[in-house]
Amino acid sequence: MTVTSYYSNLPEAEYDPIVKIMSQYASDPSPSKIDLTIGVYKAENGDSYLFPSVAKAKKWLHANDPGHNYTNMAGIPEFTAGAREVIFGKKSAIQGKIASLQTISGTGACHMASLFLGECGLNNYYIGTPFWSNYQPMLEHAGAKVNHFRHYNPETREVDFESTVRALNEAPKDSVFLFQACCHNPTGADYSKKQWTQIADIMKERELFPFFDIAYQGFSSGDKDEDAWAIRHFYEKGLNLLACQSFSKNMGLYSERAGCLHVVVQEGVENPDTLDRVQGMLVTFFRMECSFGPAFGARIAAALMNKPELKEEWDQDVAQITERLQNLRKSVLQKLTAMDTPGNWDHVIKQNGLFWYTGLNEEQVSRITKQEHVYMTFAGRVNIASLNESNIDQFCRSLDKIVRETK
Amino acid sequence: MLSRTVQKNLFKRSNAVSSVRFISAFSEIPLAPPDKILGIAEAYNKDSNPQKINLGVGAYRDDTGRPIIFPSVKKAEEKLLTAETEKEYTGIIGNKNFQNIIKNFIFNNSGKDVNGEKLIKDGRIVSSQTISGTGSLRVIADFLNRFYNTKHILVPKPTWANHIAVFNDAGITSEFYSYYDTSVNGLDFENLKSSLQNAQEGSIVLLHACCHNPTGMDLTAEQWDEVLAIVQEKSFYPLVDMAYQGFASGDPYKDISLIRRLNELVVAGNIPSYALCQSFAKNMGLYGERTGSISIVTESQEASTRIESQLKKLIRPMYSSPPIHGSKIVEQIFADESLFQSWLSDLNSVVGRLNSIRTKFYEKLDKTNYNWEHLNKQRGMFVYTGLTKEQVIELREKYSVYATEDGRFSISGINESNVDYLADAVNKVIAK
Repeated sequence: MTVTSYYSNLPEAEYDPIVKIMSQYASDPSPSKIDLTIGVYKAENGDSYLFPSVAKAKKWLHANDPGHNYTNMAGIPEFTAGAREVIFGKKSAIQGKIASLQTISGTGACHMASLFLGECGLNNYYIGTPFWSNYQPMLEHAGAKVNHFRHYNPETREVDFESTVRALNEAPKDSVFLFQACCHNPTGADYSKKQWTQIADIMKERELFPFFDIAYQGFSSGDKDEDAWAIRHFYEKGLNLLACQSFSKNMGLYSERAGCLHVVVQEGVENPDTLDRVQGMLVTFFRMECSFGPAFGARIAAALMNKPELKEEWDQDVAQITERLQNLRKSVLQKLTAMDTPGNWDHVIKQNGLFWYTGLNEEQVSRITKQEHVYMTFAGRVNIASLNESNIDQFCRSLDKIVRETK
Repeated sequence: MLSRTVQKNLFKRSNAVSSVRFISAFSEIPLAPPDKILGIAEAYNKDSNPQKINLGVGAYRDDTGRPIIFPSVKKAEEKLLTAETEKEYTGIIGNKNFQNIIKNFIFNNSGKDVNGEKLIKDGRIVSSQTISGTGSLRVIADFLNRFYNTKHILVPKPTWANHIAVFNDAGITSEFYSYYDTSVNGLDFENLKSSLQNAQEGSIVLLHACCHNPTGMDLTAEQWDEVLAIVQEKSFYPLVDMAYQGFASGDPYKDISLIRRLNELVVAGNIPSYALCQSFAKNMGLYGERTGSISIVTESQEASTRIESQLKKLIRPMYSSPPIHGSKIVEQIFADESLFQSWLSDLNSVVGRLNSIRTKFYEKLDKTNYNWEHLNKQRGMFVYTGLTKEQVIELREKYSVYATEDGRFSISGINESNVDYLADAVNKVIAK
């Protein structure tokens, strides 16, 4: 073996396209440039936003410093218990049917979930298109097979329920369906309660496994309980399922990597041994990747979930953010309507959460970026939170102009 | 009440069809073996003996038996509390400043290693922040499994149990090389060399930089030279694990002579590439914050570009990006010379306590029928006593002294108020 052959066949990996757009934005000298790409909430003045409840929790934690010792491999108990209650509600959280593992935020939760399901022999996945770009590599990393159906219909600009139902009816038994519980990324188009009910019925009947990702709980309705409706319904229906939870967005804890994986084991009450096995397997897998989840973010999150006065403030923070997002959506619609922009733009208020899937085609996106200095993802996804009083008029005028030009 | 029970049963029965498959799927999961160290902690917590001693924990405790926050770390956190205004994502491999700290502090020995400096200048070091030590081992294990031509690692016997678990889980087979001879309580250097010489060419070889876990027995500079000659001869890929930088001598710069030597060999063209896993868990007491790194010394700047892009591609689907509270503390400490100096002195006093209690423990041990000389040669957080499994069990059952069954004592569990009791218990068990 020659010494220079170590990584000779190693190709250079391609970067996520969003990284490219962000670097284009950074080098654009235009003073009126607008960045609507990244999925991070921004304050009204365009700055990064620290939740007031989080700021208080940080001070409290500093004054009551628990230090930096090793925690538990399954996670900080107050964190995992609180996280469970946020998704499943008080009553279900303590029924003894849920195994929980603190993870490296949402990505880490999805990653551990796919490893765990692989161990259970569940390797055949279905995801609705379009989807968050990390899902496919994440599932393939765990050795899973990924099939697609259409989540979103670009013509109606709503969920493609027919395609969903067809996939549910055609999927082989024991297939895994990866759903986003609310605020679908990137389309903002969510299933209705009636549709979720039908999905649950088919999944139960056809023995399919629901894999929920919930990254924006609270940003759809402003009420976290309401936004967890789908998961709670599946739980009540007696389905085994898992839920991958992140506090990146709804606490603004992005870089602290606070997240949790919950596995619902319906037979856990009659068979605590099975629940223990599931819990033990989660910890074993985690031990071989991370050993422990990071403490700081989980402690902040635990304070927000368990201390009544902080919890109330956190609830208000989430409600206010959602209200601001909804007002921005209404404002966009009003402005486009006032300009009589060609086309129907109702979907801006029908879609939920941080993102608006504008429906602009590739050429329109390319033009709005080059001519108007408005940056969004290639698929035309806009981060609503990056709009504010100072740029919303310019954004709407640019959109109107490009739509007319390319009509 | 009766009707409710019936309804409940009916409800259950109606679910039975769909639940069956999943019941069996979950039931097939084997019960994972309990983590030995956690098992010890649990048994210790249940013990009502007021004189009980926990020697299983792998974290520092002060002379009163309590965990500490390094004063320098607390100061860094105070600064953060006022300076930090958001928590937006850091990069997939952490930020540049953190990466540069790793490169400069460790590889360049803060400006004192000409070879390390050259490697940095030539763009031949790729660093990524990771989920502490375990995370760095996992990332390099997956990376080597994808891109390195030999999927086989040589690890010292004994080694940290999770080393083997992480590598095997990532698809890399492991094999022991001789390291420690329990019959003489010392390094088994002749067999160490011969077992490496007989191992498969091109294997990955795991080297503990200092404070070997669990034996505390390190190689001398001359012994490292002999080992590194074999590494070159056999074209091994050196993977250095450094969890306890500073715990051997009290000085983090002194503890990394292996890195100095490897840099020299790389610059001379004798070793093309190596990797380093490190963490600030122990030497800053940042255990739970999960702050560590992986660095790969590459063959060229061009190779670095490709390797960095592949590291990002690998990490993105695993956890997207690392947690920043711990790394911001590290950045604060390295940004401020006086804070940095107080960290060095914090670390020095931690190691000072471990060494003085080690000596005290040694002094109180009965040497008439047992040679305890190895205690003075071992370094770091552990004493590898050489006690048998039976003796460890007797210590636990008769004296409420809790240690792992391989006879490893975590010295940080020993202090002024329990050292007499502990030495007495060990003497009694040995005398039998």
